[in-house]
Amino acid sequence: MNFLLFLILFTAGCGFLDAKVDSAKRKGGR
Amino acid sequence: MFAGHFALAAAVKAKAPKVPLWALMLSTQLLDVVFVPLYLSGVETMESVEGGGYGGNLIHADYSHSLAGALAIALIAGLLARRFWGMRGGIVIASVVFSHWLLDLMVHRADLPILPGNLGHLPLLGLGWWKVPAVSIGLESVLITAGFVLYFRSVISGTARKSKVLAVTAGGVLGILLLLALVTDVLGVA
Repeated sequence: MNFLLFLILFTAGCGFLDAKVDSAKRKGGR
Repeated sequence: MFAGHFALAAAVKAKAPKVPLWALMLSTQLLDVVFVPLYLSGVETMESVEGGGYGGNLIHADYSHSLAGALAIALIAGLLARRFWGMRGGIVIASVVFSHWLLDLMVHRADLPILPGNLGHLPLLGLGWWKVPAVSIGLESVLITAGFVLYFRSVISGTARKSKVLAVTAGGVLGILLLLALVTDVLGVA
């Protein structure tokens, strides 16, 4: 249960935030 | 161990920024993802030793965590990933999938077979660092510290001022989750 909860948090949660950061970098935010 | 696996994926993201973090996170736990339905269907089992708790299990994951099985799962995942993120992405994903087995080799008691189903009854593998929790917790602490620092630095670097809050949030959330994953695992919070 703990494993599945953290799997969702890391893949969906962190994955979403990381994709937003990547997108901001690509849009010329450098 | 699962915090250590996630931490390794975070560290890899810092070095392979073109591969999405979600794919690395899923890959680093893919052997355990395969294990879940096999466990629920009774094909693979666990038994508590020394009272259970953190690292207190003999895990009979004779298919998902056999050396040959892990290599096969890594190969399939790598070939799939290559279609999306190119050859380098495929190699990165395959390596991250197989890293799970290598980290498990360090901490597991001798319960990792070489061939699926422990075919041929070859010696079972595992260095057994879980028997000394301070050692395995130390290993996981090093991994989550390195994973957090590398990821945080990479996510911050090259980010414009207007996106800094987002980058700090992404790095901070990952760091907090890594710490929580380790603490709940050690405390046996289910």
